[in-house]
Amino acid sequence: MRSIASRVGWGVATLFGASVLAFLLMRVLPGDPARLAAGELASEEAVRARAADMGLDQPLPLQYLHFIRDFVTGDWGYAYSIGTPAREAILGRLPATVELAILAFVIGVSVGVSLALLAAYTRRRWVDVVIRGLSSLGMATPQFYMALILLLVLSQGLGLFPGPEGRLTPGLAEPPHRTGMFTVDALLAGQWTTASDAFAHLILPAVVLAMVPAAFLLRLLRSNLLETSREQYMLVLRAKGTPRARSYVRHAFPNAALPTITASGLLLAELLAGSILAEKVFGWPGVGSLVADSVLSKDFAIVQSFVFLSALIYVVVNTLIDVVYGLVDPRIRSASR
Amino acid sequence: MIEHIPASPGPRVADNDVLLRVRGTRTEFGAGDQVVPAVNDVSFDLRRLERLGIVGESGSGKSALARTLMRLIEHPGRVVGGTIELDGRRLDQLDESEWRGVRGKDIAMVFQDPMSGFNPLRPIGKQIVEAITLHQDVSRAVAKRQAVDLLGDVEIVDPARKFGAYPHEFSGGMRQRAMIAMALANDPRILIADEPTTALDVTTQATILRLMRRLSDERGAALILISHDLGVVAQMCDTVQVMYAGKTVERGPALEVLVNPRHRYTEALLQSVVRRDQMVSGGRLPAIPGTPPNLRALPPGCPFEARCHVGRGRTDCSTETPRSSGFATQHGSVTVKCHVPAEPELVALSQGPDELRVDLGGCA
Amino acid sequence: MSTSTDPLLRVENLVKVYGGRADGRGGTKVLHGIDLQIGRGETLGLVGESGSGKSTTGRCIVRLTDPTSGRVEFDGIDLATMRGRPLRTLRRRIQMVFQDPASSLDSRMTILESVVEPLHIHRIGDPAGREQVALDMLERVGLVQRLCGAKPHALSGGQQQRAAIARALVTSPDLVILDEPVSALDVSVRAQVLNLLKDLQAELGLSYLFIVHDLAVAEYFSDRVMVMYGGRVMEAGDSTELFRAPSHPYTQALLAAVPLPDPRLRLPELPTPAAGGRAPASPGDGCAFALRCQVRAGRDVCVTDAPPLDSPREGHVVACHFLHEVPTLVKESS
Repeated sequence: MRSIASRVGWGVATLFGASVLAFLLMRVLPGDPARLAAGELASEEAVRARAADMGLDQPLPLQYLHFIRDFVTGDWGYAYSIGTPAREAILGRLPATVELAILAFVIGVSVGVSLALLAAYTRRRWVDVVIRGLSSLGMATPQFYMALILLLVLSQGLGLFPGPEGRLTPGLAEPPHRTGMFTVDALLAGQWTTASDAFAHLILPAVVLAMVPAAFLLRLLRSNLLETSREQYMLVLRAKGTPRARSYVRHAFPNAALPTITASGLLLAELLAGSILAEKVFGWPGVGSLVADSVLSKDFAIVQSFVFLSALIYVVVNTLIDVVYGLVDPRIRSASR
Repeated sequence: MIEHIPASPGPRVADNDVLLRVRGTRTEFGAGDQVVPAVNDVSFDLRRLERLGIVGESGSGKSALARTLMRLIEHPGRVVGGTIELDGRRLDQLDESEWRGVRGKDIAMVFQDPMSGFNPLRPIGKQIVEAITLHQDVSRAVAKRQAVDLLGDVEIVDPARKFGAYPHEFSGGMRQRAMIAMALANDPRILIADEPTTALDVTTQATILRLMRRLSDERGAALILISHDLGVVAQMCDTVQVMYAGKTVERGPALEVLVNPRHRYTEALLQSVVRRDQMVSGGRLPAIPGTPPNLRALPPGCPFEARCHVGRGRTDCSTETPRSSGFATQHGSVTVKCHVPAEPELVALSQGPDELRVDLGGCA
Repeated sequence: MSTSTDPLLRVENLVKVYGGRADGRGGTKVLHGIDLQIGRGETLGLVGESGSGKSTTGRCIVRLTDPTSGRVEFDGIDLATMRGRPLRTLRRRIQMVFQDPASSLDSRMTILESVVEPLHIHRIGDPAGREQVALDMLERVGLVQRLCGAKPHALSGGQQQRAAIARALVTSPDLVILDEPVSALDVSVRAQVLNLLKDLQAELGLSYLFIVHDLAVAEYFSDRVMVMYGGRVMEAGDSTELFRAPSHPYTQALLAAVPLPDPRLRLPELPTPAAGGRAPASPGDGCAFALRCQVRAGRDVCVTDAPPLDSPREGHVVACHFLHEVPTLVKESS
């Protein structure tokens, strides 16, 4: 109990730090938010009035407190570059990112884990070498480059997948809004064609985003598996007459996978925070590209809300990881009793 | 109070009841010009119910030999020769899946480090059940009952509750007991214990050794005990086999080999070990000079020659590999591979053992 | 200010608690008030099983960990609370040799570099001559010149430990703490290293604190011996005497458990408590061995009260409530 409380405490402290950073960030960037809001042609007076309106004339600590209060009550500011409240803008784009992130995560984990198991289990060196090579490629290749290659070959070349046209084929109606994730919503509404269309659009960007998590997990898990296979209980298992495959899957893998829980969680959090380059290449209307545009246009309401929001996501994911870890590892379970 | 054990193993071990016949075993590690013969042409017999102690230091090949007997050698090692016959069955000709049927069933092994011998994420009881179900066609419930009984056999208190406990909830000594329980689960004919008590405290060691003696007798299993500790071997074993640089250099009844050693290495080892029953007060210990040999670059002749106070420099010791010679003794025959073996009658091994006397009712 | 007859090291009521709070509550008490003394040129053997606190005692004396309370008087100066420069200067005079020579030597430095380093750190002698001093010390421990330029992994275990000993002795310390110095070495090499340590002690007038779990080695090597269990002293006295006639139930149990290399001698089958879990040391103020002791016979005082330190002989200390009930086990030499 005490450890959970202390973890939550640390989480709150992290959020506090992140919020201060988010808050200060926009204020140190060059450019006057009031002028941007008022417009290029507005008069000095109009700009000043706007500034007072936005509360920019008040002392910084007070502005910060307002920022926190507003955020918590749902007022994330007004996105001047778009013309809607910031919260609406961000939350409107979030489902697209979440959908993408979840599929990318699933693909990344499955591929990473299976290849890692294969690489560690095989007795043929060349298999291991090839897999390790793939892992390096995965980590070294820039995502947008991969995206372009995939689009070129699979979409334009072979026509297997749709091009960078966003989430649905242009002209196709969106499914009725329930979660905001098109595949889910379409399935819930029984619209099979829409669902498969949405899914087809989801695949290439998900594969691109899955590359880094897959490569990273592959490397981490493979090295853990090799280390675990040298533990004495693996030899004991063999001396008991256990078939090799079984000792790897039932014994080595759970032990080797434990440390990867933390890494996986962080990878998921990163995916959830959106990926700008992939979104741009695929025309994917996610949070990443929204934030990138907002930074360029100094729309600080969006940027600071997003920074704070992603800090929140990280903290929540991290705390969940710790809790999961504690449940899964019996050594930690008894220590906290 | 000294318990003098009888001069011969008595009815427990029958001389001609051979259970395991090992001939010409060779195990190598490495490749190319880096090949190391860890086990270099070792042969011996193991009789039913016999307790064999294999003694040696690093590089002696004792652990490699144990693993060879169970075909646990993995890349970069390989078994390159020799025959292993268990009750007439040629084990060296089995393929891997047949070996899986032997391991844990006909021959079982207990390892050195109880801390890492179990999967930390699964309860110990379940891991014992696994050993059972791998070889016996029984239901989970029956296997669980057997496992709980086994835990009780190894003197673990409240075995039913301990069944579901995790490895980290056991102490080192308890984990080793559980390892022994797991090894005995399928009533193996041979139990191999590789330094089973080296990582344990001396008081825990005493109880574990006693346990192994009792269980191996009760279950009719022969015991091969591998150790560098001469005291452990002396307490446990009927027969002692001394290994050096991958070869057996002396073999015979414990009562002969450890009391009247004939190979110069055995002799030197027994003298250099600090022992309470022969305390060298004040003076220097008769140490063996030099270091254990580098197996990659074994000189011709006897591998112990450079460190031997008798053989060093002798032509035969430095150029010719010693051949086996046999000695008949009151306890049985002893084989030695030495050009200049000791003649026990002439050896100044002197003073008999110091005695421990219990005298109740006096002041300290 | 101390005279040459005063003990070189005097430890009083050494207590170590891990993880406790600032107010002293909570945490694990690993040492419960240890007293010991080492005279000049003397070897004190510290004997015990795992968890006895013997290694912790050694580390507290050398200040690798800080004692929670107590006095550690070295040549009249209290080390326990020293810090900064005075402590650093004092470190020249107390050195330590560890159990695993491979990991106690920096694998990236040559042997010679490892042995010269303490001279640089303590600024001993003039810089130009330091290498020669190190070489001389390496020769003294029996390492030939050509090995000195090698890295630790090229040496055998015994050679590595010799190098570690050279490193410890190069600053000319008065006291050397030896923490299981031969346990990790091959059996045939142990005697060599023990002989070396004895020779060096005679040559250089060293005092040793010899931490070991092997009772025979303790008996052979030490002048006096202290037996520890559960962070407390059970018995202490002259080495030969103590092992000849152990007076504490734990010492007797320990000695009874040691297997002798003579197959004609079977150990008496002393009954031991069944394996119900970790054999716990009594956490309170009572005797640490209470829960496993045969002599206790269920009496509460062993658990509630710390046993008094009786002195059945001059220089011999035993901590037991029922000393007079402990059976006499006397080893006679024939």
